[in-house]
Amino acid sequence: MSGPGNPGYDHLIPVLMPDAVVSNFGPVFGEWTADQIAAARKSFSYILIDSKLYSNCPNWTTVADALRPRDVGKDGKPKKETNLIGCKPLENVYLSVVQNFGDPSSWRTRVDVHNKKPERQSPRGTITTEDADSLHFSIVLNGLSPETYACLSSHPPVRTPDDERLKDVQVVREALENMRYLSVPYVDPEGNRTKQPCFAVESMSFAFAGKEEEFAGPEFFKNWEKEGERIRSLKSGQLNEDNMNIDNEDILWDDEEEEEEDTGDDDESRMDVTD
Amino acid sequence: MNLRLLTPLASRLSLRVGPDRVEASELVSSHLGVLVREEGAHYLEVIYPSEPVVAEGSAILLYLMGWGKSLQALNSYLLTGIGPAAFRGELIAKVLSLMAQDNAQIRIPFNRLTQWEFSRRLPVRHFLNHFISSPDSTILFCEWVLRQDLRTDRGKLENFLEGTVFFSHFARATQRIRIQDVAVA
Repeated sequence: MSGPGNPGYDHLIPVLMPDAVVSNFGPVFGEWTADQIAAARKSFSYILIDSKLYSNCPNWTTVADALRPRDVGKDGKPKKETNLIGCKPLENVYLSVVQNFGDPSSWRTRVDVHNKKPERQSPRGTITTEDADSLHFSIVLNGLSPETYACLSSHPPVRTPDDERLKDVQVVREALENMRYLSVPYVDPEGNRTKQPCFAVESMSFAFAGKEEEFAGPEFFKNWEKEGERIRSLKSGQLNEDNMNIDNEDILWDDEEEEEEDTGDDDESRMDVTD
Repeated sequence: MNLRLLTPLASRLSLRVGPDRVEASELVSSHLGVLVREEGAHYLEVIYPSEPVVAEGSAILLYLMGWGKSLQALNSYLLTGIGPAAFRGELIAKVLSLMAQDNAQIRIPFNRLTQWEFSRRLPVRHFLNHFISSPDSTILFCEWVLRQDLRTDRGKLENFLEGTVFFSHFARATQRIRIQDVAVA
């Protein structure tokens, strides 16, 4: 499962515990009773995965400790950080996997296990001693190579002679590396229809929403048009990473003041939005 | 050709193609996507529902032809995407998870008459051993973990590793996940 409505992790893989009693579960469609939810809580655990592509966090222990399920508040309503409704009290060990595909300078080891005793209070909520000590098991994976991922050393297991198999493994690694460092121009200067965007990205869709000024305020569209003119003025073939960067001095975004004040964990917050 | 290579990945990775693209219309006409709403020419809503049968077929195709060409096709489509600040980290994570899952599944014997090869329950221990490399090359990852001095309850951790995962593809959650959603999935 994956989804934008679950802060803190990108993917969740359900784990069925060996002593699960499936007959106590509720229906596939419809509401579950409290007993049925308790049965599910006892019978299931999960693997939470959070991938980081741009972040250069100096302390991955903090990130690994923060990657945990969070239930609704005491009033029964979802909080901002709620990402798994009905998960508390925790019954089983769960695994958090942080994948760091970013800056190699922040790596200590390729594979690192983190479950040291955390601080009592984390930026994303309170961590109880029982939760942190006995039920949380977290791993940080650095890089994108066979030294980190076993599946890249032997995959794909195709039914072909060994030389073709090895060749395909190499292609897979190159393709993933390319995906990691991919740089995509925002506009096609040639106006070629076949090169227009294919995949939808929800966090970016506002940029193509039209010119209704009430949508984001007149200042936003003034800046957006200015940026559009700058990009359109670029000649074909000149788009590269340098001139695709937005010059923040020329563009006054609405929340510029807030960003300046909140520079402490800027990389972290940007990561959560874009990745 | 690229679209044909992309199709096995698209169904497993839960790729979302922009509704105004020719690829989206191809997916809808092939019953891999569903057009649920349209308002004139201004708004189209296409969803790509979870399809376990298609995912199994896609897994078999990827097993037979390898992941390389499909990933190259995915890369070429990403190059026509709308920016580097996209969701590539998530994509890579999904690819790695599924590769590990497939890699682990084919090493377990199965009955062709009663089971689907890539849609079976898989022990967590087995999945993690194929997903993550062990820092100690002489032992598998889970063995290495159990040798560490962990604060995690050892008995419960071993119980967790004896549990099973069951996934052949990713599905997109459109709302906050509940524990019963985990059970139903």
